[in-house]
Amino acid sequence: MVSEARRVSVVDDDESVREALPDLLRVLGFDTRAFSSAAEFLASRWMPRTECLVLDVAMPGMSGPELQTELKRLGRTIPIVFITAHKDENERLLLIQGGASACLFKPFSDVALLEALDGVFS
Amino acid sequence: MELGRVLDTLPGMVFSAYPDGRIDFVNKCLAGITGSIEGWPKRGVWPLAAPPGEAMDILRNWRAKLSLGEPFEMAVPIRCKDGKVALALRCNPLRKCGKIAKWYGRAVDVTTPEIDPVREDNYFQRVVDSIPVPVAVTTPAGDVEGLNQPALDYFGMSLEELQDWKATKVVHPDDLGRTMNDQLEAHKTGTFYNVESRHLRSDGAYRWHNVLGLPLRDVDGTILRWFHPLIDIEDSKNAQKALVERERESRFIIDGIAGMIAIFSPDGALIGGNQQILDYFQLPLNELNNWATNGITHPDDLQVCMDSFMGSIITGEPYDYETRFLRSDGVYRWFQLRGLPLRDAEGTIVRWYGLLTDIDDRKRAEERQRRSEASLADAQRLSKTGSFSLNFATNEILWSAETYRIFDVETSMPITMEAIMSRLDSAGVATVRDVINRSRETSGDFDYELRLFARDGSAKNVRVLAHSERNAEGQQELTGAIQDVTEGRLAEEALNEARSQLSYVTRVTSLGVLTASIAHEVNQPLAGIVANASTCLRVLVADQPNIELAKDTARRMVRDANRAAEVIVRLRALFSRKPASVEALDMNDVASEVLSLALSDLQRRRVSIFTEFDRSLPPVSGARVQLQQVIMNLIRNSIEALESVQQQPRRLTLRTTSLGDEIVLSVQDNGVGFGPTGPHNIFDAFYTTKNEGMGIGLSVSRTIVENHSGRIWASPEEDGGVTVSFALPACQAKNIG
Repeated sequence: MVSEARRVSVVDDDESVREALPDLLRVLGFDTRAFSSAAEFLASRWMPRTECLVLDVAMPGMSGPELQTELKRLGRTIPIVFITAHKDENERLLLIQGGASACLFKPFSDVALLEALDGVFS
Repeated sequence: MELGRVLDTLPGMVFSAYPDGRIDFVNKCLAGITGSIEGWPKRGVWPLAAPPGEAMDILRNWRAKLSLGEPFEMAVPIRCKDGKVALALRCNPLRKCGKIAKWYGRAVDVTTPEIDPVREDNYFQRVVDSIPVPVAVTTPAGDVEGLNQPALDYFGMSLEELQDWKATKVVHPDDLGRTMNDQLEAHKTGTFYNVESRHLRSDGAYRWHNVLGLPLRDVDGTILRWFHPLIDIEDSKNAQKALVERERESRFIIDGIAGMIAIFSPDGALIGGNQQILDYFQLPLNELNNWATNGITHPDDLQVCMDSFMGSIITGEPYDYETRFLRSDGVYRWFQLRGLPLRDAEGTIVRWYGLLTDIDDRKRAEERQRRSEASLADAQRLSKTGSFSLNFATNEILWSAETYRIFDVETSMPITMEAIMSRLDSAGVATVRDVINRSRETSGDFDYELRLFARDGSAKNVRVLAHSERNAEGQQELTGAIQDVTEGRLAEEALNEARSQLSYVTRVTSLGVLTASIAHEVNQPLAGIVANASTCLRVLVADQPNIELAKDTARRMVRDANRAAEVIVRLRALFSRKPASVEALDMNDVASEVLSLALSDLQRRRVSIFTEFDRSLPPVSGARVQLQQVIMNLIRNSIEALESVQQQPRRLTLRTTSLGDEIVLSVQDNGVGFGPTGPHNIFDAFYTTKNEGMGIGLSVSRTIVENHSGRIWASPEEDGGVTVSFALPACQAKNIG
């Protein structure tokens, strides 16, 4: 769609999401990789190149917000769109205040996802 | 001898004597008087008409006068034919070469020619009669010779009767012996005497007299008579007796006073005290006088004592102070000391009388009272409860300090009904009016609440408990307590608020846990489905549809939908109460399923989960859902126990092991533990206190476990946490289900 696809990484321990979301993002024109855990993402070569992170909140091991903190500590300022299966407005608010670009409750529509990413890249 | 004849012819009586007193010569005239006494001049001794003792005295006197060597006169009683004559001897010494060789003397008969008995008696009588007190005249031998008129009047007897006084009751029988002795003694020595004795008056009453014995002597010192004035001392005797009696009575009073009496000299020295003071200290008076130094005064009071007492001694002002004195048993007791000076007619202080009153009991009572008042004030302060009383007869309103504080009124302010009413809202005014109207007439109890407004306008809730009745004086009175319940009300409201919040939270939590579990488990596959569907649609509507991708997404959608359906089925089973079906179960599977439901909750609460599953477990026979309820409950309890853990990571370990013939599942946490009650009755306690949430407590868990022929227990961990485990018998038939 665009000359150079934006690089969006997906980190989620849930297999359904990890399979479905990258396909959708690609269809929407993003360059995408998916990771099953924070550790896997941090270890990958994609990490430094990632322009936007679609990040699950609750994961075994390092959680989404913990990964966010770790990235900050590493000096990486990657915009983050949190996704969570736990619908809690307070938690969402905290995440936004914590510097997240957006927070989507699962299940979310392709429109909502696109809006969030537009917000990041506009 | 010529001289002798000359002398013999002289009409007067002359004699000569040696210096040692022996008679040398008497002329015929002198010898004629004593004619009947043969040869006396030859013996050289005057033939004295006196008892031997008296005669010896006269002779001693005679020689004594001779030895002085000066001319002298003396009277001597001489025996003669008619009895006796009193001769007055006038003697002159004859000196040779400066030494007295002889005495020459002339004797004059002072009896016969110079003394007229009749005239003399009258003379005495007149003198004696002129004395206004009774007088008795006695001979040197003690016989009553005469009495004056006052004496005759007093006794109402004749002279003859009275001459026999030793045999009658004229002198009180108790005094007679003493009187006679004294008289005898005095007459023997010839000295003045003075004796007290009772004498019978004409009316039959004995009266005390001071009887004097006054010897009447002639020129030579010979006692001729004794005069005995009788001085009536009955009245003074009575007065004296009365004085003694009064003294005794005073003493009795002083000793009878319920207090200690001390008598001081004007300079403050202790000179007397009653029995009580001696009894109290068990010390002699002279020791008590050292009260400032001998330790009987309490050291702390010594200064006050010295200042007060010595101050009064100096100024003469009465003193009144309090001090502690050491009782003989070693106990100090409080005394009030009051003293007054006794002054004479000139106003000079002659004595100090001090009264020491034991006020120890009163003092202690005062102290108790003071303490109890202080502790009451403290109690009122602490409990924010004041007291008050309203006397309807006097309209007097009394408040305790705390009541002032509650009303926010200065303690110096007079309290009036208006002042009280001004602090109330209209409802309060009506309430108080009603209470006062009712309590004015009748006895009763009142319990009401008011809103008080402080000076700054802030409001207070007070509860008033009051009681009206007649007091000891018969006056109608309303007394009561007023308690500031503002904080109590606030606390109650806060508690109610907290309760409702808690119940809301609990409800939301239990629902929330359920919905969160459902939502999380369902939302994951739903997220996948929605993403896949979106992808599918976008792929299909593209100019060149990517059919393969569309197929993939469709396939994934079916899978995820099934997965979501499974979750729903599983949750419904867990939260429903449908009868359990018994099957052979792998405890690891059962635990994993529960863990997957609780996972999101655990993650959200920052609880790290560790699983230690024994993969070679034999199956157990049981109802899956029931066992899952037990495990879920154990996890939920652990989550709550971990809630307050802040300083360290929250850990929850789910463990399965095989122990002999049993399969054991344990849930371990590092939470707050059992608390003070210990692990013994948590399976009961939780049933009653935490019968909410999942709807099952530990007691239900126990019931379930025991229904599976298993057992459940809890044990504390060293890090403060708890491990709760249950064990079920391993299933022998491996092929069940």
